[in-house]
Amino acid sequence: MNERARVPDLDERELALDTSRSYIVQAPAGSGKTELLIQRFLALLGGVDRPEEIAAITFTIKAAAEMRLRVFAALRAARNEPRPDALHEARTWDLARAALERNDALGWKLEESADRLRVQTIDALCMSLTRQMPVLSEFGAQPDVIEDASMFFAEAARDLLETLEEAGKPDAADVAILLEHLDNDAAQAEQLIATMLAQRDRWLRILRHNCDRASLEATLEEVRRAAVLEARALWPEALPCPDDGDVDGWIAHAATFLTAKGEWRKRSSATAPMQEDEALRSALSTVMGLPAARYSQDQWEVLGAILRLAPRAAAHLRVVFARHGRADFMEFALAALRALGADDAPTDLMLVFDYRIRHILVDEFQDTSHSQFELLRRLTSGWEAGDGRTLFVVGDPMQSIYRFREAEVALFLQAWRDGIGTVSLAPLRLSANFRSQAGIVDWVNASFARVMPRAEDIDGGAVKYSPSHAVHPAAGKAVHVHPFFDGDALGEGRRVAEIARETLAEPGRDPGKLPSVAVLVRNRRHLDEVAPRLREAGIKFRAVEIESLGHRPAVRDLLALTRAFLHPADRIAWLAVLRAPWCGLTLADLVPLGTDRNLTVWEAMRDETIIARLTEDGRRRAVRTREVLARSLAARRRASLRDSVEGAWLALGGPACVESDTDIADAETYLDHLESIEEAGTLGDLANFEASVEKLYALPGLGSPDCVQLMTIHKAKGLEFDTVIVPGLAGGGGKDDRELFLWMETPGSSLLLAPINPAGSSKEPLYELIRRLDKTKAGHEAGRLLYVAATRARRRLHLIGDAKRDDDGAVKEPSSGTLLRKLWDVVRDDFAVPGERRRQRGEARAAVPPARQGLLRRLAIERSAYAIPAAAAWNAPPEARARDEIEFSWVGDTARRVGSVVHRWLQRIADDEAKGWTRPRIERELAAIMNELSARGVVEGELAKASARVIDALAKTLEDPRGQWLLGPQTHARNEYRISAVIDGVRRDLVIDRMFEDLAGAWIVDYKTSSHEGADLERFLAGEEERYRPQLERYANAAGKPGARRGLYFPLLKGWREW
Amino acid sequence: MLERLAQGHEARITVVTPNRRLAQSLGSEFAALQRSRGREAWETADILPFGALVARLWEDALYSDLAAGMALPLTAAQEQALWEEAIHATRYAESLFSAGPAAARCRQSWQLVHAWRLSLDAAGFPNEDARAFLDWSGRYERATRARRQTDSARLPDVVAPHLGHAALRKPATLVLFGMDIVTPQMRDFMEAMAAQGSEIVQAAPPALRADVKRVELTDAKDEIETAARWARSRLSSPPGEGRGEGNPPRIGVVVPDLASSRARVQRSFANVMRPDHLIAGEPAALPFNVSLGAALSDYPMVADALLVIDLASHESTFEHASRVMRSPFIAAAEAEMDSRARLDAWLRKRCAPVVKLESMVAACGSPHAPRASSLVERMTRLAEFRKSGLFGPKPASEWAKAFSEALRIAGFPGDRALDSAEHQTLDKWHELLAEFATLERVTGRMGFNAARERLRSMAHEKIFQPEARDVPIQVMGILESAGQDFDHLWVMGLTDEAWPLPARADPFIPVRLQRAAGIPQADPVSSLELDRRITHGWTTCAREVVFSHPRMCKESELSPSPLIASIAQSPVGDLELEGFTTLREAIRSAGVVETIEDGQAPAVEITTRAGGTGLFKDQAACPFRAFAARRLEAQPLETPRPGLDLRDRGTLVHEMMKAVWTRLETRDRLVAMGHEDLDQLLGACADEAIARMRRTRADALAGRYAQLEHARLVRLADEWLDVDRGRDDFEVVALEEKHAVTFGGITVDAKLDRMDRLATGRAVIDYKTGECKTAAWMGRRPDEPQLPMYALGRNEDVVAVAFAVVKTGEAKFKGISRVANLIPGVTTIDKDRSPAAKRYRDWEDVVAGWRVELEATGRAFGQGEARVDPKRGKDTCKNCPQPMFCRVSEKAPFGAALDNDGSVDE
Ligand code: SF4
Repeated sequence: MNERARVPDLDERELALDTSRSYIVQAPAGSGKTELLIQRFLALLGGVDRPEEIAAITFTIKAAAEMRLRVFAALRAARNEPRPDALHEARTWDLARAALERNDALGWKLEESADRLRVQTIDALCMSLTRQMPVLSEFGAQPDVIEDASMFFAEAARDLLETLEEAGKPDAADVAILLEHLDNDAAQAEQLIATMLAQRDRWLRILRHNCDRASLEATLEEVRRAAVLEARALWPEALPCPDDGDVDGWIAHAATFLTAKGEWRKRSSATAPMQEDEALRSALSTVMGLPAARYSQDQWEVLGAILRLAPRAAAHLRVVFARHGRADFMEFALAALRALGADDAPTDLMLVFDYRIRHILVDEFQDTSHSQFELLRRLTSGWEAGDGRTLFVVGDPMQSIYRFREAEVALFLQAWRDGIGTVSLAPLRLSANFRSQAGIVDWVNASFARVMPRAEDIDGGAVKYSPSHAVHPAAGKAVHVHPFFDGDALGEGRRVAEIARETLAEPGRDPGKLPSVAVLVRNRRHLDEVAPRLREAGIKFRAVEIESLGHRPAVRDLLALTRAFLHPADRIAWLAVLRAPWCGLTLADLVPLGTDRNLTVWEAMRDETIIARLTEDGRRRAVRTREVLARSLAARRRASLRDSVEGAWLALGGPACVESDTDIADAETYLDHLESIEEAGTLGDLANFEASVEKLYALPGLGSPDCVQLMTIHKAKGLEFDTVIVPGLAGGGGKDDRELFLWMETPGSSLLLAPINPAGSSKEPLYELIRRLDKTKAGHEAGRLLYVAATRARRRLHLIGDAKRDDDGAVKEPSSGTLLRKLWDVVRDDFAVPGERRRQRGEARAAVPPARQGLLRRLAIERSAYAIPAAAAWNAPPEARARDEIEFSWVGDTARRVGSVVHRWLQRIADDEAKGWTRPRIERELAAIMNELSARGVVEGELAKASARVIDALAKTLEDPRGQWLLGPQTHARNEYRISAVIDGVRRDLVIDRMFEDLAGAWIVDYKTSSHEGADLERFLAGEEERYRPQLERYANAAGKPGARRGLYFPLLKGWREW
Repeated sequence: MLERLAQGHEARITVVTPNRRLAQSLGSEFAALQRSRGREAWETADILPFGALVARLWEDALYSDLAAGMALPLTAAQEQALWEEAIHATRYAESLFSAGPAAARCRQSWQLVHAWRLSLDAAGFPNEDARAFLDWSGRYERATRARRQTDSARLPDVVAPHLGHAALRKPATLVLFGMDIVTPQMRDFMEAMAAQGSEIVQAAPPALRADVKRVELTDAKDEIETAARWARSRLSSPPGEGRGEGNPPRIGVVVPDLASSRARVQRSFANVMRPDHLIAGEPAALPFNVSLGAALSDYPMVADALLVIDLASHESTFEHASRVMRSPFIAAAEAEMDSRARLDAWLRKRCAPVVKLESMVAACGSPHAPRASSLVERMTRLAEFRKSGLFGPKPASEWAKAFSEALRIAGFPGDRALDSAEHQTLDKWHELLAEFATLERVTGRMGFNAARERLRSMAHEKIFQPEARDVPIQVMGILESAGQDFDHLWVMGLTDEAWPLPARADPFIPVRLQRAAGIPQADPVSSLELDRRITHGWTTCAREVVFSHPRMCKESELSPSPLIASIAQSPVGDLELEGFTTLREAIRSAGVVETIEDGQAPAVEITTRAGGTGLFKDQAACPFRAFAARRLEAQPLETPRPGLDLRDRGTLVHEMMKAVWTRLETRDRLVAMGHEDLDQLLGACADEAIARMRRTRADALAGRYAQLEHARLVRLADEWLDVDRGRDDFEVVALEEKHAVTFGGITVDAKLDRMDRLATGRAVIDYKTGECKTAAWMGRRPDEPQLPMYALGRNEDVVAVAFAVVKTGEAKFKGISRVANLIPGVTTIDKDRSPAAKRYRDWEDVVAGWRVELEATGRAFGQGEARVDPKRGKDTCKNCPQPMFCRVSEKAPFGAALDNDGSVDE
């Protein structure tokens, strides 16, 4: 209750439950937005006709699962438990109760069909749309999802580049222009196009704009003028300057005051005061870098080519996707957009689903991409206030950190200002922080008001800080800054270990539990010095998605085995297999095996004269390995590749060679991955496979869950810890790649485009202008990243950075783009500790510690014997043969089919006791027989011949006295008699063609439609008898008539054998 | 029911099941009953799925006087082809992703339309997707009508009117067994049967009183493993009544979504039932069977057959060709395994990613190519056959023959003895070819590519599983479990999202129509009802039933299905599992690892030259790398890439510059030459450079791309010559000259790009098309020892070493010289800005330093120094192909100390 009193934003929270209105909610870190979403969801349930009318969209699958879980928990509580006393819980209970009443009244059975609760990621939503609209989405049928489509992007890029050789096609000319621009570097072109395809949702939208030269150049002029006006506004009145309209004059003017690098030139008394003005300097620098008013001829030519090629590349990508039957999520999003129809002709979802979506809730709205935003716009098109349909979007622009996944924070700001499409959104701002102690919240309030931009700027992606109020009271010193100097990564690593040790010695929040500690970094490599120091200090940690799986020794060994298995001439892989711990050959023993380059290593291993040159120990090891590999190579492509590799790994003793249980788990991850990629027991493209292994992460250590967690800040989003340590503040972010073309949209939403710089040319002003804008956005995001890191902490926050000093010992400003630079105003004083510049090291430290450089780790084979665990006990029956092997002979399709039709006819004739059946009657059945043969699969061209044979066989039988006897009236006659019998312990189903009794006793007869050309029919028939004796033997026994006479009848030959 | 069946054929009872699986399992049960009564033989019981019954009746009609009027049902492939044709005939075809999968979807919808008697009337089809289907199905229907064809969806309606005919053999009693859903079409059919005198009886398996448990396990993997251990534990328990003494009990394991987890299930069960199955010499008899199968095209033999056909096409990717070369299903694959691999490795350096069979065959004819004569001979014949046998439009049956012939030429399926599964696969493949041949009844003639694609997609659609022996443990999907009974049953994966199955209406038919017809999948409430019935069925079909659900999937938390949530959760311990060790654990716990010192290989036996200067470069970068690459020839296999790679492009520039200066010789001549003459000269030089390159990379340097490359070379050289023109007088005295040099006892060939005679001495020059720094010559373990080696090795008076940077927009010299101003951009050591230059006083000092380093490097290599010591850690290893061999990650785990990127403070 006490706490409730301190919640400052109760009114906003209550408003958010008004289900008749649409809202956009800014929910800063720790403000409990999930709870709010759940309450709103429950409130909506109480008022809809079908639960499917509400769509809740989350950012991750995990978040969707959690939200669903909590909604159901609330429903269960309302069903089974009394109304709680606490205000907030009671509110949830009431809402859930109302939802249940609705459920019961309308017979939803919600509690039993969880799927009716539409809480899903945007990807899942898109997929459900495209699944139900195969034609409108233009998929035809839902393709499979591929998470990482980069190899398809590359394939599409190659396909596009290959059109170069299709003379006369317009694409060919454009590709030529592009290649020429890139110095004919096809590999680079491929990579640039592939990168471009990865973000096609952004530019496909852009390219719908008017991209003709005149309008682009008009925008260019607009941009130039705007830059000049900005500089003009800051320019001291007292000093002379060119006219506002004289852009080129201003460019020259700026250059007289600034150096090429954009710094002030030497001070003069006249300019001295002006030189204090950083804003002016920056504005002048922008002016100085302004591009020319028009595209150059070359620029325009290549831009034109790129703009024409871009959609072609996307088209090629669709073909590639279709070829593989798979598509990435972006393609699903684009398809979903198509399916929803154009603005003027929206698809009526009522007809598709039999219900309409009436309410949408979106979580993490700050990380929405353009295509997702567009999707929301289309889903809500035509919605109006008060029509019973609402949109509810929640997010925190201060936590928008997914630019690299196309998140665009400007969309949040824009929605805040203008709503989405036709829906206007009432803004609500939450401010209570239920997570961190007041010390942290206060520090964050004070600091981030300075770290984040002072003014909001939608196009620049600048988000203003919005303060929070702590619900928890202060609890001791919250934030610690740890300064280091001159690249002392080692020192930082040690400090992290110290902090972790001290923190773990404190009591945790819950009795018996340790406090939770996380080390958060912007970039994985900032942990390079942390993990070893923790290990040295004996502190257990889990590195979540930090280390590439492909770097684990156990995985590398498996990869070596895989490659060796796939290709006997892959020398590196084979040598690696011999060097791996399970074989462990010394360098000396490797030399004889590897010296002759004209032999594969595998050939050398089988050459006894070469083997003889090994040491005795080496020989034993090599021969043991040879035996295992010989066995798996002999059976290659019988089992799956995974099984072959795992089998060899086990047989070699792979599991005995690993260093920890985690390695075994990593090995399993690798093998699973191999299995998911392999095709028909081999790999389609080894290079792609190896690249994909690089992209997997090794499992975090299997330590206890409450050990120290190491992860990236991105990964930590949505989590919280008692203590958060952020080292490596002075480290850079990722690299920034060049793109084929860049664009910007002006506030008036006109478009400016720039092609990539030509090979070798210095920076083109136009491209750089737009790139700078991008950099500004990245700079803003860095500030937000820092906010996310800082707000993960409940009790303590440790910030660790490294500053450089100059020769005089003065601390230099951290380089731009680092988190430390962002925070510099706040922590500058913490770094003002006296000290000297550390002299750089003389020789670089050896990367591999000298003591380990020559080590060979290997299995002590004699001491590693193991017992094979027992197999399950059961009596395996003998293997069932697919069929009677004598029937197996491949006599040719048509002959076999003629045989089956003849059999079927003989059955029919025998059923009639041959009454009325004559050659002419058979001949009249020609059409039927052809039909039957067709049905059996005889092809057109052979029908005439085949049907003639059938007729021949039947007619001959009817004309043959033996045939008449056989098919005619008999006692106890049976045709196609089906019996089952146990033969050699296996059940077999048998079909006896004909069985009857006459004076001689019982007969068992089989028809054989064999034909025979040439002389000596008798010998042929004798051979056939020999062949089919066992078969008839079985028939007789199974029919319980071991004494029956056996007969073989050959309709085509009028042949007969009996015994 | 089984009792009545046991009366034999006289009783004329037929049992109809919803699927083949249940028919088989009833058949086995019936057999078990008979055997338990001591019988060795009995009349086979007539148990079959509904579709098979209809097909049998249709065949009866076909062999009667009704024959002439009977429509023929299409095969699945024929149906597919007709649907595709229907789609292609409409305006939708153009925008659709691909018609094949869409056609497959249509076939499902078409089944629904007939099974549920939905009326295809435009008024009821208001939305675009449904209208498209209406259009397509209209066309399809007309096409089949015109040819007097029908399909499995319509067959019951085709047969029903004729049921009265005597030739159609109807049972006296028809038992519908375990039918959870009876569609209107089935009902009508049954009514028609009844009208003809068959007694129709509904039957269900007898309800058992089961001990039902619910367990929660960590994740899907844990579920499968635990279920496998459970099944193993139950294997030795006594069977239920009627199964016969001494027989194992019937154990069922139901896995929803079996199609996607089949491989994992198969493996986990195998590991548990027979821990050593992967290393056992002969294939193990395993007591379980996993239903479903894989696509026929996923069977290695079939996949390779398709690749052979691919190879015989106009062109195929190198990777495909390479797979054929390494395939065990080609004749003489065993005998030539190594030589084919070597040939493949050799071709990789020369081929483009897309190759023509003819040009590959031509390449194999090179005297340098490794011999694999049987393979090459077959490829040659295949190439010839291609020209004669694989051209032009043909009917499908002709293609089937041609494909068979291509495979015969390739020696498919190889010399290795086939095992039972491979035999069956081969049979299936032949069947597929035969079925393919019958496509001509609907498709007419087609070209090679169309035929190949069609065959490929048929192989992809055909799900196949080699037959196995009778086993006690059956692993199956949800639908197959219906109606079966067991002694022990485990149903896994029952989370709230998976069960009840989410309602999924058919997208081509308006939902309203589907709901009105009562199709359960179209409506959440009726779908729930159906799944509730199935759940109840499980709880009564065995003596012991275990339901399980995973707690986690990746990072998400999951809940149990509401349909089982009311069953109290039992701890796993209650399952009474036998103890069990995996082979992995056994091996791991017995393993003993030792660590020995082994950084020194035997000294090199010096006989001949050891290669090029790259040896010193490798040794300096990392001793192990030099050992691997230079003594064991550990070179990576190459992957053919389109166009030229960096190295090729560098080589081209070298060739170009060589050609240019071979002609020009002196700066005087350069300066004197007029524009036009120079242009002409450059053009000729580019021609020459490209012609040389084509000798090894013919495929990569052709057509328009070659023209562009030609233009680039001319441009680059032109730009470069401006630099040379701006120098003092010089004469080029050597080009691409090889020269033996010896350091530390190791003699290698130093190849020099170019040497100029200046007024005061000579300059050695190395063309560079990428990054380069003079610092690469300095300090310990120099990165680029080539120029120093050359400079030291020549006894001439070298006064400058320089990189000539030949790069668009960046043409310039970089280097150091004895005295200043010899060449623009080349400075004396005291002016060099790299930090490493600080250690040298003057030119002589530099030269002396080189000698010391190079001697030491050569000696180290000669002595066998092979420690894993990458000079700059991660950076050095970045482009090195050896990490799996040198095991660097084991020696410097988890980035420890690998952060040292050698960057120096500025
Ligand atoms: S990967 Fe690194 S350590 Fe291994 S050989 Fe290459 S350079 Fe040396």
